[in-house]
Amino acid sequence: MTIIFQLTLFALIAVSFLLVIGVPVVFASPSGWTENKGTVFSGVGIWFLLVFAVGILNSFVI
Amino acid sequence: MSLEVILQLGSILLVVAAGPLVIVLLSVNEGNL
Repeated sequence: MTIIFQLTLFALIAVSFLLVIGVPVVFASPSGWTENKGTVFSGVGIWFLLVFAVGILNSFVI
Repeated sequence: MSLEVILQLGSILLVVAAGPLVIVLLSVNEGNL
């Protein structure tokens, strides 16, 4: 169970890093928002899922 | 140096590098800087 928790947490950190870089680039790119809107929404959705997954898995590890 | 210190330095390096990376990507992409 610990390795699942660690992998989920690493995925959360990786997705957070990608969003921190990707969202401002998409916002400020010419016609970037209309072309990459779906990708940004998918990333935000996966990020929220990972937050709750880490929170739930944490109670099985500690 | 222990492994933990190296991991912490790597983590802060990612955070610090994220800001200039946005600027570089936007300049390459000819974005609205």
